[in-house]
Amino acid sequence: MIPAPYDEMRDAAGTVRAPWTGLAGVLDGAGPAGLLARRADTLRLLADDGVAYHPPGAESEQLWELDPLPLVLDGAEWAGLERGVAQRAELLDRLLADLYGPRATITRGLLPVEVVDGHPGYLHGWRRPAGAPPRRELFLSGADLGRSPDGWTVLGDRVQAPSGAGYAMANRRVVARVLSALHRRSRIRRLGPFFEAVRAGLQAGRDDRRIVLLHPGPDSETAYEQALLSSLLGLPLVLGSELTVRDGRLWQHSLGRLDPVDVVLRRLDADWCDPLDLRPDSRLGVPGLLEAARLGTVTVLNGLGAGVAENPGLQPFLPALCRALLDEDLLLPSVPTWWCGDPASLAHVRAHLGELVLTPVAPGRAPVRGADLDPAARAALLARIEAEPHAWAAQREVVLSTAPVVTDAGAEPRAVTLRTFAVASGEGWEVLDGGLGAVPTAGLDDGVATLAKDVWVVGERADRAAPGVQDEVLGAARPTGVSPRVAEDLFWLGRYAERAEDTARLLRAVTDRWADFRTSPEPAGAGALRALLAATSEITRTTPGFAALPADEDPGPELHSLLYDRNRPGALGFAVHRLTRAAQAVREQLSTDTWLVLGRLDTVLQRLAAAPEPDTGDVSEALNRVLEGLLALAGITAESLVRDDGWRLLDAGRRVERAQHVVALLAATLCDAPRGPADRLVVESVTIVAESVITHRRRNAGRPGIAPLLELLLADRDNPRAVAHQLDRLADDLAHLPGAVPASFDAAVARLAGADPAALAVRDTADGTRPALRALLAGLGADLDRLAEDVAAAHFAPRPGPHAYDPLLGAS
Amino acid sequence: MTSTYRVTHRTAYAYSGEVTTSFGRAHLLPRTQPDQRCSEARVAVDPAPDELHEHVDAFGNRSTYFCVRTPHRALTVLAESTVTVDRAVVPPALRGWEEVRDRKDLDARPFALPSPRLPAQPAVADYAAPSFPPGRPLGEAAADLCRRIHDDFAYVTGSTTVRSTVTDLLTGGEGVCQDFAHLAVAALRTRGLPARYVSGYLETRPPPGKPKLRGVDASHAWFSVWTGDGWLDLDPTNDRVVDDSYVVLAHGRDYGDVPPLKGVIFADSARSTMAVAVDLERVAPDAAG
Repeated sequence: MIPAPYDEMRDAAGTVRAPWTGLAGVLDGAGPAGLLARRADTLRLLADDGVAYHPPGAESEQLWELDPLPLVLDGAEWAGLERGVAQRAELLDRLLADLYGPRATITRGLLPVEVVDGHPGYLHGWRRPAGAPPRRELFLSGADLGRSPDGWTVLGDRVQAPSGAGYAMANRRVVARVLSALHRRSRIRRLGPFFEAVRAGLQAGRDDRRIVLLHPGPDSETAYEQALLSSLLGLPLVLGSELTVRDGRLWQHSLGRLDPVDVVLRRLDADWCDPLDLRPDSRLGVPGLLEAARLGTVTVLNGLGAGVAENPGLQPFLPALCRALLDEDLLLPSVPTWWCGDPASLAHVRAHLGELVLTPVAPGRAPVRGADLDPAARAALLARIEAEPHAWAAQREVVLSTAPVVTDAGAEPRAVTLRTFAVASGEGWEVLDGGLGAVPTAGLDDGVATLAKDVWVVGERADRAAPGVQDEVLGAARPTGVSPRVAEDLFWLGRYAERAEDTARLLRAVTDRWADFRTSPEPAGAGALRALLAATSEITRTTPGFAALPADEDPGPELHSLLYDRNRPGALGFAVHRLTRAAQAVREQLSTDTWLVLGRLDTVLQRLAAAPEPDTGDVSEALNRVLEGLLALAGITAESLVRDDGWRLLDAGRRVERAQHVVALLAATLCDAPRGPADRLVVESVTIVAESVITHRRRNAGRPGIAPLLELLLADRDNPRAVAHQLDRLADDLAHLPGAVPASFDAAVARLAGADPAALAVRDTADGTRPALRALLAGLGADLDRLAEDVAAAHFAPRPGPHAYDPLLGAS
Repeated sequence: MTSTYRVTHRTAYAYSGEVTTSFGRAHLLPRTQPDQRCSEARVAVDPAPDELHEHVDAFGNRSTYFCVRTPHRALTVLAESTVTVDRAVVPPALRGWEEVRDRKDLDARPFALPSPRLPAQPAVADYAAPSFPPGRPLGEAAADLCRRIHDDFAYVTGSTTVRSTVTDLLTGGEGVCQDFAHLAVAALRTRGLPARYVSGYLETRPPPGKPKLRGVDASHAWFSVWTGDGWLDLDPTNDRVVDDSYVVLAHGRDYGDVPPLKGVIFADSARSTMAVAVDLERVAPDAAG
């Protein structure tokens, strides 16, 4: 008989347990509609914060899924759980130290050698560095727990590179706002001290220790969390390609120099960390990292061989190991487990297959529920197990406790699990006061892709001094040091932000001209619209574009494509999409407000894309919203970022892009032969696109011709839209960056200095074009293209990628 | 019987483009073990490496790490050693193979497990079966397996690569010493018997009356099986018991633990060609110094 699950909120009599009374009040007060509103708030806040998860195999990130209702745990009860979690971390650390040292647990018969050497996480050939000071193999330890009717049980250990502590913080930041009144009223323990303990543990009392967070890249499943951890811990987030081993130690590439690295906190599975000594096909690792670790010049945490402790086959041996290694009884029991390499256990598994979950001990292989199999499939599974018994474990399914979850039908009890975290702190362990709650959907999933829950531990703890920094503001510090990759992403962030802004202004001006022409169709308006549409195709480099349309064809579809097609270079949607991707790649460098802005931009464009036939008014309005967002982003980058090398490159990207835009705008509109009365309207649109209408009118009212406009947009150093102003800013940026100022920059400055607006405005007597202006703009455009290339070559030149070689065995 | 060799193993890579950095890991220096003494050994890399260190790994093998940061289009790794082999004739392994299997001797047990390049496979178990009738003495069973591999498969240079699997050998019917050794190791493990992959050299003897040519020797590989008292080395490529014509470089679970040379290069163009030349020159014992 399956026992009834424990319910976290109500006891067997249906009475609300004491720590849940606050939340139960909220549930009663809100009603189903109120709960759905809370769920909507949660979604919106997650989107505003940009909390994301990238499911394996998916093209892009998706929004993190979070239930608004926390899992509430009583502080007194938590104290016991905390001791158990800390004890387990200590036990696994001692075990790992033994397995990569004397291996006494094996020789003394406490642990079958097959559980160790037969697990893919065991690093054969590796020994702990001799002579180095004693240190930990395990630094950050995770454990997945479930509460069975008999009490808390460990479902599995996460010691390879445990994820989820950052998501726990992201959950808290959202739920604290969704349930703000209750959150303020309840005495909920903060998560911040844990992250401070992580940082202190890495620093180990030595301020000069340089620490990096090694991650698999912005496309990894938990890229959001890695960036969040980077800012919570104030550690640079680095890729393997940004590290190098030389002179027997590890170094980090920064702009123009190498910095020594003492500690690597890795979010990369060990296998991928070193293509020389581990997986040769890894492009994520650092050749020689294992050698540097062996030499003891760098500490990799968790240890590169920690994965063996995730073997579920280890569970039955933990009680005896705990007594042998710690001289204590194991506090937290594991889910009942049989390791099939033991003949008696295998016999048990054979007899009880239908009641057990069969788990391959190797990571990443799906468990099988015996009850789901027909007799033939059971026989086939048993044959597989008997062919390789050491590679299988069998576990009893835990009847998980339930907690309320918001569903379409209101709050419903659902099974929950809890991932806890412990970090080595001095001689002991600091346990996160809370964790990552999860509502498993399919039952046997790993948990990360399921619905998350915040976990509230309620009640003060006796042994902690006054709380430190508030969770909401922890991690406002931006990590120092700009790697070539970050530099490149920031440069493109600046370029795409500016390109999006310029494209939005251009499309808005064209849309307005189109709307005017529709209401009063006059020849001058028609000519100006045609000229502007052709110019738009040229400026956005989407030719032939409008020029290919017959004169009577509706320009609407092409205009809409330029608005929201995220796969079309030149389109606003493309620039916004690339801007978002660049921002995601350097998430840890940016203010969290960035996501508020980027999320709204995407929403506006998607809504426009979804509209059946948006009229010019809708488009104009949407473009206004987009511009609002982009101006806010410009404000954030101008006002909230420290002027370091990274900011310099971001600004340089923006300046290069804006100068190119002005050059392209003038080239596409003012160089051709006269268009008659349409020209006045075209020039007006140019001043609007260049955001210089007011200045132009104020300064040049009554001055005929385009010389004053060229003066204003090319040479006026005080006009923040002028090319000359961009060059001034670039001069400042380049002067602050390492390396010499490129010759292409000096060429652009000289070319512009030699230009005379009056001469540029002169038309050719034969064909009526402006050859001098065209020549100047072509030259400037080329200078600016070259400058962008020179900046790229100087600061983020792609380094040749690694290739593995492994010679044929020339054999006799 | 005692033999002393001067071993020279030169590996030369030529690249189509410039290599900026090259990291290497070599298992090219003979291990020291009871039946073999290495009196002099070094690895030299050209261009001169920025770093080169050696350590003894958990298998007891000598492992060399190097890094070259001088841009280059050719890389040579030269290993030279002087080795004295004193390999007595191994007493026959008379225990029944099931007895050896059931002893579960702790030091040998890990070698009975599948390994990354040798996962458990029913086809290998089927291949092994005829050599292991109940009660057969282990030595006899292992020798039978060795002879069958020698007889059943064709030795064809270049027929396989370092990444070939035992399945490739079983289906293709041809391979090189590495494949034969892998099959033997995997086959023994399907019977629950500990077995190791051994990398080393075999002295080649010129035809009678002809001088020995230089550079004709090569890397070699064979297998080693636990007898309950020690390890018995057999060479399925030549169907021979390993004697003092053999020099052991390193042993491990499979080739992946002991490649003579592997590495990672940083280059825009990674096309490469490789040439290996090995010499085993018999010298007077006192030359060992």
